[in-house]
Amino acid sequence: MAREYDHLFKLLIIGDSGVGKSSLLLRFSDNTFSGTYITTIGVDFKIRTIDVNGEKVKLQIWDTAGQERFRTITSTYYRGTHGVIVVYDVTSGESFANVKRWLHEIDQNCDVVNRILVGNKDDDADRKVVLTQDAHKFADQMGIQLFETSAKENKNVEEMFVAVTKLVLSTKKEQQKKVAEQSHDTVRLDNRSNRKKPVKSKCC
Amino acid sequence: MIVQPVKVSFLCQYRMDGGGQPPNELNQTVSPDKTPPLDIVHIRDHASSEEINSDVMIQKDNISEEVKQQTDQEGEIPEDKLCGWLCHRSRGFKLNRQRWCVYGEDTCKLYYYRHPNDLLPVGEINIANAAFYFDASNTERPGLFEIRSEDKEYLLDAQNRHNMMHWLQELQKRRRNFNMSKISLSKDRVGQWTLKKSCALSGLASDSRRYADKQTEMLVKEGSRDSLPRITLPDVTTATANSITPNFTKTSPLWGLNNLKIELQSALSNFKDQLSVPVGNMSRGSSQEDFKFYDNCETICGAEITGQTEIENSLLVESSVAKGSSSEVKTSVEAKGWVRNQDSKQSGKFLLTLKRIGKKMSNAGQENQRPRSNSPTSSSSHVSLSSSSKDIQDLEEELLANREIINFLHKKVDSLSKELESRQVADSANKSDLTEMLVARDKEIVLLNHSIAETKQALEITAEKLRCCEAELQTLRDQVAMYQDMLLAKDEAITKLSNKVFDMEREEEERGAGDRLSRSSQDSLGSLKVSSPVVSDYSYLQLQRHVQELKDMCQAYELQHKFLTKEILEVNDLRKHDEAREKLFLLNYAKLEAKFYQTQSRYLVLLNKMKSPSKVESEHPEGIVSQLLEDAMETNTHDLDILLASSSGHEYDQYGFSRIYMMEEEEEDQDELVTKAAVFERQSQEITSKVKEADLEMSLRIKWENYMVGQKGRSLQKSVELKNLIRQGIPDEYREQVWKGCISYYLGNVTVHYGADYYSELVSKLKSSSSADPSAKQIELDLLRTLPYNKHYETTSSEGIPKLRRVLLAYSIFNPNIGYCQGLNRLAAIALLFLSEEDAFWCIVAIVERILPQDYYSHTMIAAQADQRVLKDLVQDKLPKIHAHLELHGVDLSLFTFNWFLTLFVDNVPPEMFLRVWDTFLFEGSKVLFRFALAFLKKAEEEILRQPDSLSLNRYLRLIGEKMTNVKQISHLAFYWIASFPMRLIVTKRQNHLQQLRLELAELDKKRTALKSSYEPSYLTDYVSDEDLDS
Repeated sequence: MAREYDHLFKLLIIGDSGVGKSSLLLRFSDNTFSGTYITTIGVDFKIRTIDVNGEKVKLQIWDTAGQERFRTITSTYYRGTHGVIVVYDVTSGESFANVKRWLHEIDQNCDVVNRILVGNKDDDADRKVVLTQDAHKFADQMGIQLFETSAKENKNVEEMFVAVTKLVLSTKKEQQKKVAEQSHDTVRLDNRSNRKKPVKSKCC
Repeated sequence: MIVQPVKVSFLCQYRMDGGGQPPNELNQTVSPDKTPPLDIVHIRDHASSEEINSDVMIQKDNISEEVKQQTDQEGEIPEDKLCGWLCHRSRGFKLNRQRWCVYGEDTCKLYYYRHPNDLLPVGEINIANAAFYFDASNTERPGLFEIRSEDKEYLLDAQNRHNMMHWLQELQKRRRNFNMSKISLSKDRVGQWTLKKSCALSGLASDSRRYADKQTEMLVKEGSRDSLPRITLPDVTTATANSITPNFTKTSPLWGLNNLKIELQSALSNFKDQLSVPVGNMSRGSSQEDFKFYDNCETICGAEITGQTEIENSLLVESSVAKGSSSEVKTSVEAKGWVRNQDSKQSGKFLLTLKRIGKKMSNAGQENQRPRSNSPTSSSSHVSLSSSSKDIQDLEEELLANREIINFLHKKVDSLSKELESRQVADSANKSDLTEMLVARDKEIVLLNHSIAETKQALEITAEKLRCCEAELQTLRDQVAMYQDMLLAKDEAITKLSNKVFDMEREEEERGAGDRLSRSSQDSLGSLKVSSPVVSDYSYLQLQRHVQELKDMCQAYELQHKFLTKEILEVNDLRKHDEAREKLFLLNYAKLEAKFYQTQSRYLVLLNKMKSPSKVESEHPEGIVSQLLEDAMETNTHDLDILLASSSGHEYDQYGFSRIYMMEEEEEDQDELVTKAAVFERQSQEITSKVKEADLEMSLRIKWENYMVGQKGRSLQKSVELKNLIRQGIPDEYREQVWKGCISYYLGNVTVHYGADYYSELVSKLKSSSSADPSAKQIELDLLRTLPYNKHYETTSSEGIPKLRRVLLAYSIFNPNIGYCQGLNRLAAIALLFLSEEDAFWCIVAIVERILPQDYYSHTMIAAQADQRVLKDLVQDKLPKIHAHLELHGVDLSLFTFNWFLTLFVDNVPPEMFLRVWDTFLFEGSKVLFRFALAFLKKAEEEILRQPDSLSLNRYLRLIGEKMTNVKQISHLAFYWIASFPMRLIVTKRQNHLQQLRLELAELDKKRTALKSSYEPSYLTDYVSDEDLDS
């Protein structure tokens, strides 16, 4: 039997409690939506294989607990992560304000990793408080791609996951190219100061 | 001895007269201290209402023991608890053992203990299938009855017939109720072997049961409506008292006194009747008369005793009054007014009692008069008696007159002193007048003193007179006693004479008829009579006694007959009931069979189609398949529901968990059909295993029953037996009690310290506190996400949600250091399934603050993290292969086990499994979590080792909990595979890892603060995070 997949990536979803991390994952992995998904305590994951430019990519997506005190233990979750999806709730300014803390978390636990910013629950214009332009401004400054999604209405979910996969994939390709070019060199992982550059290596 | 009055409710429910009388003895407080004076008082109380029930005292004799026991240990008897001492006899041996018998309401069994305080019973009798019997002819042991159950015969002795009848009827009633309630069984799920408990459980999970219970209750009510009327005992006591057992009366004077009034009346009326009976018929009535005489004597004696004590009492009072008044006179004038009142009151009472005595005496006199009309002496004695009482009355009146004089004098003194006062004001100007006045006053005072002395003397004289009267009374009483003796002797003489007359008459008659009669018969009769008259007399008495005995026997047989008839009817009824049940079962069975054949035929059709798919195009095999699919999906909701499930269908289990949801898809692309098939598969497994282990389950259930029956009302004691019992699982109906016991074990007197209303006070505080609190916000966010697949927490309107909110908020206030941590919501939700709101709150307190180590749910969660490392160490130690395999693929076990520990497995394993973990966790402590975690890994060891890479390992470990369905096997692994598991080891490991973690945490914090200043974009200030608010 041929190989089940060409690439295997580990993604991590983080963000405040109740912004819809599990719902996004469930929409993506099972294409279902339930208004009340059980609270994630600790961590959970789902798997889905997608096709990107003819290549089979298997995604192992880890969903984390949002409550603040769980951050102290999430460090273990970052191990071997290729991409991180930072989620906020467009109907909650607070969750958006906390995004920078989540970005801190990433910096703290990984040196270099692909990141993407997601404003979820973008299905009710009346309740939306985080303006798209503010979010874009912030994302641009951070050098992160922004997606506004709705797991409920299945809006932009697939696109977002595909985008992050492509990001991770291109990073991997770049890295492979580099490895091929300088096959005698080893990849250096310890350039901590070089955070903001789009990078080639895996997380810690 | 002062004993708290106890309502002897169940003892008095049973009445011999069958009702119609006001239940005055229901409120009768029975004091174990049974001295005669008390009883006399008791009689007097009732004599006025003429409602003396002879059974009260008789029962009291035997039952007071029981009541004493009860008061000693509990202080209060539950309304409907049937318990008491019975003597357990064995047929072959002469072994008689006194046993404390308790009827178990839930199990319909009679448990017997050596002592009421025993934990485990010596044995039990199944009442549900029992038949009762008693032998009327056994006069030696009138309280002996038999329970025949399950091929065994139990001989129990209730001391006397009344107690026995009480027991039997109660048992019959309970047997009926229990069997009627069984009808609900037929409506239950097949897999549900447990009998439903009718007692109210406070947890949410019990709700589904309540509905079924209501139905049951209605059925029971219907059933009991047509239940047979109670048998009422014939008035055996009075019959026996009047007829054969004058002995009995003699041996129990209490009883005789108690029935004084009744006897008096009956004796009088009987005597009247007898007087009106012509002398010719004397022969017939003589036997009765004979005994009436006895009774009369008895009665009179009784009356005499009563009278005597009363008189004595009253005399005592009198003398004290006299003494009191004489001393009072000496005291100051001011005090007199008060004393006077007191005096008059006392004397009033005294008068009353005297009058009563008078009446009693005259009553006695009247009663004496009639039977004694034959002898003139008695009437004269009566006259003297009544005259003496009259004397007493006269004396009394005299005394009263004296008192009145004193009163008058008092008044005078009063008015004079008043006058003095007014004059003093006026005479302040005129001193000479004053001195004159003073002299006059002095004189007056002297006079008054004189008069007081006189009165004193008069009083003394009265007292003397009274004493004389007393003496006189005493002599009169003696006289009466003497007369009575005489009367007795005369009565006996009369009886003898009348017997003789009767015998002679008979002899004459026989002689007349003798010619016609055969010689032999004459001989047989003659042998009794022809001898000396004294001997015939004696034998006649014997005969009479014999007749009475036979009569009594007859009555006993009648009673037995009645009882047995009822018993037969009852048993018949039960049989009918069982037949109906059986029919219902058969019907259900037939329906299920039909369903089965239908399914099988469809399956075969489908198989056939599959075998030859392209044979006939026109038949549209796809259509058939889709039709079948539709059917398959539909059957879930209709027929099967009706057949198999009542309120807790197969959609939800008995705890309210949705079955479909519990089956999380193991493969990525699994459609509804496959899920459903898996659900059915699991259900079928469950049922099969339950059927297989039904016997084992039953024996465990019996152990629990025994334990719980003994446990009632006591606090939980840790013991090896209980530990082993809990390791085998707590039955649902006892879970609340046992959990509560464990909680209070851990909390000790903490709950007492906070006060009984502490929880409600916390809840009332909640209303005032703001919802801006981050804990409150998070709680609100998590409420519906706690157990969304449990019907008690499904929607905002579900009953569990507000309770959950209150419990979590209350805890966040109770311990602000922890506030609210995700995971606590699961704990509270599970606790609420079985416990009341308040108990659930204390359950959380016990788990977080006592059972688990500190800092499990705190802001760092450091202890929970440490436990993951402890587990890792233990895995390395106990399951080295797994450890090596995980290490090889770089899989971190703590990713999964963190959740296990934090939610106490609620998130991971099926309800039956995590409830077992909870049961043992609450009893044994946090060590159990490691036991089960290791057991899960052990159970899945082979599978784990088979996983080739990290991805599949992760996938497998994520769902490892769902495979833990074999609760018995896993608990065995948890407790017996890991035999010794010293807590010391875990404690030291915990401490080591905690230290390590603290260091790591400090480093992380340093890193965090160093990074903090990097992102501060200005346009983000509109969006404020709570961290900013905090700092």
